[in-house]
Amino acid sequence: MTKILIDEYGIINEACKILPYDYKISFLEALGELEDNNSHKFKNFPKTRLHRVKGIKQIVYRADIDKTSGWRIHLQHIGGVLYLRDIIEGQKHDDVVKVIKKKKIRYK
Amino acid sequence: MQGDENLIIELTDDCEKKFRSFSDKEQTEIVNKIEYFGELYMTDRAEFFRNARQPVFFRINDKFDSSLYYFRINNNLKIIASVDEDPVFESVTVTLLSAFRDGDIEKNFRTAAQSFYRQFASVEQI
Repeated sequence: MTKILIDEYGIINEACKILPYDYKISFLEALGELEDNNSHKFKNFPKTRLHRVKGIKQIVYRADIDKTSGWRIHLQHIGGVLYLRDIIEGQKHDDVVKVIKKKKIRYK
Repeated sequence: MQGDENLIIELTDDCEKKFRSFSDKEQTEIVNKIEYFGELYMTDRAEFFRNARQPVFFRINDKFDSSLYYFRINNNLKIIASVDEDPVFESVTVTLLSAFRDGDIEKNFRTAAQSFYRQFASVEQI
């Protein structure tokens, strides 16, 4: 079983046009990891380092295409489905954050 | 529906120096209050929004809304934090961006947002 990944904005098409040749295989590998249900089941994304983009109400994630260059994808999570939203060149960096507390909450 | 979620409290690099300048008692009070607001977000959204304010609205990259809020800790202390739900990792993260005593709330909010959103191509105040 795979996770559903939808590309209604033509991000794959855009990636083919703008990604440097060296990163095209990495892009394919990133998509493969994002579709892999086991990655989601075990919350383990070594290739893409998938993580929530903070500061935005919509549930948007960042997935690395290439760690060194910083090329990455933004995806939106809606109803368990991932929608490709943007492909971003690597010059802008996330804020550095430090976790100061973590706690499990049980809710009804 | 019942479930478990992690509540994660984070601090940005920019905010850490200011946060550590507060007394231990104040730091504890801030963290405890953030924990309270985080739990409210998970368990009682209506009550959360009675406490969370957005004095300024931002639109990010022409398509996203801001999750930055201003909260009162007590009569003296105020904070600005983002509150972000994370279904893939089953958590809610509260990221502390700014803590202050005095000063214009809107101005502090804008300054915190400007710094926090610098990674984005476009940020528009609406």
